[in-house]
Amino acid sequence: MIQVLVNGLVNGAILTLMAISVTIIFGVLRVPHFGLGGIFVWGAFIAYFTRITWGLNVLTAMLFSATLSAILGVVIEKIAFKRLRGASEDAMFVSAIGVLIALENGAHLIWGEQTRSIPFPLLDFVLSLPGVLYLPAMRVLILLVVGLVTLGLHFYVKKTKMGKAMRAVAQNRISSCLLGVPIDRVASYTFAFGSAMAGMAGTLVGIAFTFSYDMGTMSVLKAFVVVVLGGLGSIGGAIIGGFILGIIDSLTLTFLTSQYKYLVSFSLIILVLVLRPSGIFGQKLSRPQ
Amino acid sequence: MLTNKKVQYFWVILLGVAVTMLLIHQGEAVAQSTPAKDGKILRIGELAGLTGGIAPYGIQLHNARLLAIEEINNKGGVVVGNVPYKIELVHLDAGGAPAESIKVLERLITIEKLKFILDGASSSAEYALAPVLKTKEVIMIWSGGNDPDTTVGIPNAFRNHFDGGKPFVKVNELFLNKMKVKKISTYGQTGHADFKRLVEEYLPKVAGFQVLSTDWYPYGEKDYFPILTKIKTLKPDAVLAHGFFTDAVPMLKQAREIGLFPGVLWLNQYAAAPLMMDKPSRQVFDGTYEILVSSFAATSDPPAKSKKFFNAYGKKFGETGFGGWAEAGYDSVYILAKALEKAGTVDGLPKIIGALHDLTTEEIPELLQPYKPGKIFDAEGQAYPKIVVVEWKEEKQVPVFSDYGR
Repeated sequence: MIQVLVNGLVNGAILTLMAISVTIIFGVLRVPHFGLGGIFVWGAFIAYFTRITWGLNVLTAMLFSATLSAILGVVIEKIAFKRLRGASEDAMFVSAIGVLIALENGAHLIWGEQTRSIPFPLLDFVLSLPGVLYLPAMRVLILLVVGLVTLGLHFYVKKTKMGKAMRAVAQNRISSCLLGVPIDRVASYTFAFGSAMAGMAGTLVGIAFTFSYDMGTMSVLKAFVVVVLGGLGSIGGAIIGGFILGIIDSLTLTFLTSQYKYLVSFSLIILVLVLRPSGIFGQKLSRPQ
Repeated sequence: MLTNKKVQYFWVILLGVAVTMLLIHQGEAVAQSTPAKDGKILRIGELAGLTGGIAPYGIQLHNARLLAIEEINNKGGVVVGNVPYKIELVHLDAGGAPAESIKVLERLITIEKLKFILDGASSSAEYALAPVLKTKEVIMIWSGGNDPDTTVGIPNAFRNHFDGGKPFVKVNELFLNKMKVKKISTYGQTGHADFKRLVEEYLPKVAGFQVLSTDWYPYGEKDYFPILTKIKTLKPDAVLAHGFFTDAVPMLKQAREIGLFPGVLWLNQYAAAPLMMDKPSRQVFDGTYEILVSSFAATSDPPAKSKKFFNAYGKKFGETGFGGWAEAGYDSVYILAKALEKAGTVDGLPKIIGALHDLTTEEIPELLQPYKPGKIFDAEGQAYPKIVVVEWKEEKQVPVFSDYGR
């Protein structure tokens, strides 16, 4: 049972990282950024090629990937979303889907369809309590990285000037604008953070498992489910939601059925939303102005 | 508010996009062959699987077919009724997806006007194509996919790859008995009808076998830990795994991490081969067995003909990606060419179908797969190459067992 729960936590950790990236962008700017699935893919490829081609160690490759993902995220914001700030959510949604498709197909065109894995020989061992728990060191790294990123983000948003600006824009964009908060810069920072986290999540998947050009769609879909489960705009909700979904998945696979794992997981989520439509930690959000 | 000018711009842009898409679409069917200077051209279609999960297998088939076509054309082409024809392969990529395969098939028949089509799509695509094929004036030769009985009831469909139904089950049974296996757990990718029938319909009925668990994972799954954890608690003698080999690498890695393997007999049904993957992945397979193979080409002990083919393939396309499906693709071209020569016509489909049924292994010395001697195809258009079991040892595949399953 401990193994099953730990499996779920690790599974949930990557979901959590993606969900936070989605939440932060949606929470601040009301953009349903499905394109983060594409950045998730590009993050993995960037880390892979910096590791293989330049021989960088994994940590440096991960940071490099996060940085480039952040830059990519800012570029995408300028091209695909800036002009839609006053537009309807439908327009943003369509633009986000377009970004996802473009990035995944771009990755396919550039790097092909071969499935790859980012090598990390240093962590090629297993921590075990025989009969109770087997935990590959890589999975411990995932939990550590996600924990550190979450703490870092929390600190940034609470303590820094830009963090305060992001919170102000999330509460009321027009009033923030009137009070002199630089919306363009806040948008860039928000997209940068969200994209960096998505890129980092892709890197972690590439190290712990394998990656290919088409893994972004399902990942971002699951992230959105987690975001809705946890409550739109709530980072705490995204964290809890991610781990809950990871554990539900693990329990379903182990004790119920593997064939219909998604059916069971998402049915439970629908049930939660029927009972609490705003999600676990959701707040009633005002319509974008 | 939309002004008249904006509406006009909108329609111009829309028209431009539509015209561009049409031009791209028209150019999509790619013809590849040795260009013919004199003589007639025989256009053969290929429903290629060059993208998606099927790509590692489909690309081998495609390349091997190009090689076979080049050889035939260099020798003067295929002579049908005293008229030499140079072969031209017209391929469209369906990515192995059933719905896409149907659209591509329609296009090859109605727009490209092709009568002979070679396929390299996934098993599930063959079931989807079957009802459509029955209504068309074409002959299809499948060289990939293992779903059971895909040619049954389809007089114009043939398969020169092995049937994943009774023959494959038989070889699995023989091998597992040889290895004294009693308790089995299975873990396969959803959407593979051959494996579904194996584990749900056949295996439970085999005396002496106990199927402890049957589990599935969706395409794109990366975390197999939960199911592998469950399998470990059941203590099987053997684990049967099925899907695309790209799933096998993380699955085996995780099986090792959780202490499930080594410890059980791990029987892969991935049609994986050493050159289809990188070194770290090959090492992950060490100690496991592979059974979804009907060729000795990628093993440590290939016959002379296969070695020659491999060298030619490597020279033209590079060795990376070469695997057991390549020979099936190569054979499909020679089988079709010989059938056309035997029938003496490129138009009379019933005659060509008859010729395919009458073809024997001995009539086509170029064949690479180890077919059963005598007629290549049975009454339903299914061929019976030997199914080979290999063991992964030090990054190579060593043949340990083989049988026709019939």
